[in-house]
Amino acid sequence: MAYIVSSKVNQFRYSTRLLFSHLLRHGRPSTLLPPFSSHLQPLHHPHQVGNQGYGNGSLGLCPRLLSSSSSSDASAANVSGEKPALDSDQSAKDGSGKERESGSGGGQDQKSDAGKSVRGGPVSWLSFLLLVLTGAGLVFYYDREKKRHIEGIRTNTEAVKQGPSAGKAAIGGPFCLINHHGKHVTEKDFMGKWTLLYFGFTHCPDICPEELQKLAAAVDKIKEKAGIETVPVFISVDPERDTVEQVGEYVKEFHPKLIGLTGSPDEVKNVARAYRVYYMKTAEEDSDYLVDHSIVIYLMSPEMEFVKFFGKNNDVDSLADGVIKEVTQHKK
Amino acid sequence: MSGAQLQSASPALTIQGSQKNVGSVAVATAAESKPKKKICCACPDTKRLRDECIVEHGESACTKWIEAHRLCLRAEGFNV
Repeated sequence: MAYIVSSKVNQFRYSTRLLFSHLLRHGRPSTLLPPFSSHLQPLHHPHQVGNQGYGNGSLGLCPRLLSSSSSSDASAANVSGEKPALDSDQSAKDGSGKERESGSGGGQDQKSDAGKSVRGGPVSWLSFLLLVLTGAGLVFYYDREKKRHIEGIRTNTEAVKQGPSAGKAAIGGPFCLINHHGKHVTEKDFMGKWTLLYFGFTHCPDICPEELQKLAAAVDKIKEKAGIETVPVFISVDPERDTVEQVGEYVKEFHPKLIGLTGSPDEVKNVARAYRVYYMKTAEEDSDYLVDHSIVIYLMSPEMEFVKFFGKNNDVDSLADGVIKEVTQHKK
Repeated sequence: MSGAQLQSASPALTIQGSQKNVGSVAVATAAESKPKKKICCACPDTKRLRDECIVEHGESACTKWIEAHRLCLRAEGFNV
């Protein structure tokens, strides 16, 4: 019984030792099975032969069998080379030692696996992360610069537009006057059509008639050239003498479409200030006084916003062409 | 421009002639006291500068041009 038990224990020890030794040496699961299977067969046969032949000399017989197998084959020689090492291990350590060895072996395997994962993962992961961050950063920076550039262009455009806008805001505004038919009109009555405004007075001996004739001719020429309807308007800056009847008789002489406006001194003063028209009565004693006033023709948009002014130096053609150009540009 | 000036000049001359005739018929002193030119035609340079300035910048910002034109009108004999 003791002999049988000891022999079994020896067999277990041999198999365990072989397994762990292979694991440690090769370190690869894929390569463990073939050498293990090749080693097991010769081990079993010597043990059986040894057990049957000699009861007490089992340990002594093992070396002998190994040596005999080495003499027979080269691969067997390798096996024999390994076995003496196993024997020495067995003689040096006890059961607890074997357990420690197995435990440490498992730990080593785990450590090696962990080490591999630590080494490989962070490098590739960090590289990918840096690449993504760099790419995102470049895209963000480019997009921001592009938006800034576009905003710059828009700002410049708006800056250019602000000029005319400021001019439009400065000239124009509400007014309440009386037309040559005796009806009260405001700036809203002229919305929806292009309007040409002229400020003068009916007793004007020279410039006013010429300017109004130019205005009337331009209205007809604009319609003939571009088919654009414009409304000519005459606003008096001489409210004391220019009554509704006086203005009515005056505008008839120039153009059937010419609208004459007049009003009280305060109303005329307000409209002149709003439309930046200067007028001043000469200090004559009698009623035959003259009025010094700006000689300008204003082009107002259908929204009654100031678009452009034409001075005395413009003739009929330049006035008509200028109006057509502004109207065409405004429609675009 | 020259044509326009000629056209503008001829009516002025005509009107001046007619006024002179009326003056001679009425009182010589009254005719002499009246200015020879019309206020609208007088001082075209300062008038143009004043008008353009007022349109672009407003009356309050064009005081010097207004005053310059007034001085010119006074020099021409207008009572302003």
